Amino acid sequence: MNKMAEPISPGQYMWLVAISVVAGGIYLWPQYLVTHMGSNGIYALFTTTAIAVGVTLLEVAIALNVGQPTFLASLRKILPVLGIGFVFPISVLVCLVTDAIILALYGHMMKSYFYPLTPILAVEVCIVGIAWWIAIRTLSAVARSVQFWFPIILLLLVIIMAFSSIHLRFLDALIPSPHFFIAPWLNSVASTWFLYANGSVVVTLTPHVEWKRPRDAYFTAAFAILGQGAVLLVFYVIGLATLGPNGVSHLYWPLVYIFSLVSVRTFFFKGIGAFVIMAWTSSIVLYLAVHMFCFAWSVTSDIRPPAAMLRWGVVAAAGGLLIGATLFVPSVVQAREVLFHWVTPATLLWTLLVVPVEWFLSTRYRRRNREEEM
Amino acid sequence: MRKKVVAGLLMGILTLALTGCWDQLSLADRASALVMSVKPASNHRLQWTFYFPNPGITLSSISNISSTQQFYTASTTAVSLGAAYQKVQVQLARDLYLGQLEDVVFSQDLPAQTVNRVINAYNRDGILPKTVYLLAEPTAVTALPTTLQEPVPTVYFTKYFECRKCQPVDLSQPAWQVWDEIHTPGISPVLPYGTQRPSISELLVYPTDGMPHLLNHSMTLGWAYLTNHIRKESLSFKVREGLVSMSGIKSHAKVKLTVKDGVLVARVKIHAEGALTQWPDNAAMTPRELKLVQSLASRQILHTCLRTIQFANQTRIDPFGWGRDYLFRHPQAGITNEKRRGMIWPIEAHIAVTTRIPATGVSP
Repeated sequence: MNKMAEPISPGQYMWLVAISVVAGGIYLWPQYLVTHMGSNGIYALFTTTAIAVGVTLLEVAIALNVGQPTFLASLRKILPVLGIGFVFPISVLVCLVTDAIILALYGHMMKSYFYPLTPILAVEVCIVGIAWWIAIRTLSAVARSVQFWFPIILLLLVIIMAFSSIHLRFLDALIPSPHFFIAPWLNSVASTWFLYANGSVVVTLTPHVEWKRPRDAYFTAAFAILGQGAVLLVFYVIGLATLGPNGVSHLYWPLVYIFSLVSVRTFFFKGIGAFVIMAWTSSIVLYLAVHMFCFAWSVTSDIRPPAAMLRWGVVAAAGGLLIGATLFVPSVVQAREVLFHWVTPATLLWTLLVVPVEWFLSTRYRRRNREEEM
Repeated sequence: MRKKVVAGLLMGILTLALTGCWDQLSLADRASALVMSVKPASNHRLQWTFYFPNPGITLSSISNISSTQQFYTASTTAVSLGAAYQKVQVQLARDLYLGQLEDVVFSQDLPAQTVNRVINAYNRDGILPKTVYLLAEPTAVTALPTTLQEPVPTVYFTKYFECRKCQPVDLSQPAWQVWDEIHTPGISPVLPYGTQRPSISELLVYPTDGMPHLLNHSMTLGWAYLTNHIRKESLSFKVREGLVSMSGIKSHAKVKLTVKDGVLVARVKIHAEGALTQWPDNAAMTPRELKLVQSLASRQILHTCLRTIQFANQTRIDPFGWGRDYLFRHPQAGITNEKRRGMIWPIEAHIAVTTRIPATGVSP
């Protein structure tokens, strides 16, 4: 333990867990899902959310069973060699690659809709720069930033959604088809998992709350994930009810498109829907900051004394990795191909393989510890 | 201290970088088009005309100048929107800017495929506003209808469509909605048809391919009653004693759709409400008379709707979007209707119209 680990409140924990998922890639939602499943996309959304809740609960259990301050420290206890040399680097890497593609696509979206003449790299560097600035602070400082900004982001979204509700036209389009096909369902689940991929940051965050009862940790984490699932559901409804499944599947960024239609001509600022960009830029910044913070903390927490410069450097390295990876993204088409068909299914597979094993080993570790104590 | 310096530096750089103002351009250096018009030209090309408000017009001169002077134009022939943009840009000494576009006007003589192609290209560009109003005009019309009451050059179409209370029938078609209809099976997109007078009271319906069909004013009303686009319509008809008028009519249609033996069966219930504004002087208004007037109004609305549906069946169009609505409720049916882009004909309509006249003015 070091001075960074001053405890956070359950509320702060909830906001941190919530921002670590969905907030990054939300602007891509729900095009892929609707393209492959149409009005049956709702089933895939429920499935991914259920998997995410299950995985998060297992991660909370791992953290509580092992009782170590970070994900890496937990792995060291339950899987000494393989955990440090294999599981941790791969978990972090797949998450960072996902984040990098999400960031690259966000840059492309900004260029397409708002800054046609600004180089994408400038947008990406700015986002990573602010994320770095937040991520180099202490846990409670990061938690306070998220606790302050995330509700504001949600409030902004609610206001914009209220404005765009006048465009809701096709509530019938939400009715799922009685013909259910397994292949597109599995495909959609495997390809939209990137929304919930967070590189096990929950394991790092959970031990730093003074839980009254362990079950509070489970409830809070599940509530955060379900809350983000509800956001996805609301956006799914807005997308489908405004444009119908065919319209949504023909747009890369359907929600940005729908919110850009909000125009109040008599208002001083005509394109009020552009506020959504502020909301989403803030949310992607916090999302990246929480990921980078947890990874850097895991890496540096055991090095004593924990030099601030070292953490700055590790966060900067993670940020550099993100920026570097975006440079290899040549176009939206290729980035989407890689994200949906390669990185996301691989991340899901990895998560479903590794997290249950980690949980199993953590319960064994706990049992052994108890026996030793007795 | 060092942290504060770093934070200060970072904030400074971000403040400069994130405003996005490095590529700002003063208003005087921009040519901001308000209207774009697309017409057929020779050799499979299109004639593109951009209308720019004339900044030289002042409040004092506004009443003395003709509408043609309120706007200046730049025109070119090109195969695509991108090529037209380039060519017009070359003609102007300012940066051509389409971010303030308000209306896109298509010639009536353009086939559905061409209109779809232009709308698709327009929609692909993220910067172009998707809330612009689309409409169609006869090719011969060249001058832009303007509203002379405004202190600055204002396009009549934009002003009219934005004034929700001005329109007896809501015929506005924003670009995003038409683009969505092009991509959604089971609906024939419609565009309001503007004339030089200026007036907008008719619709052009675009079939899957080929030239558009004109819905005359009466059929446009039928379309509006069937699709809930009536805002404050009026009706006039004769009774034995003389002329009767109703105005401020609002209506609501409920549609139930089924498919039986390949026929789209639409059960429509329309309820209209309006005020009696004219009644023959020599006749007294009794409950019996009122009932008669209500039933005559219902009959007239019914006739208008049936005529529109008949026309849709004849020309194989579905401007009501009933095919789409049916597919939304029965997504599995889409597979069998792919060849007809989700449209189902013939449409067999069972329409019941009820009319209520709650207000009959101040005299019996």
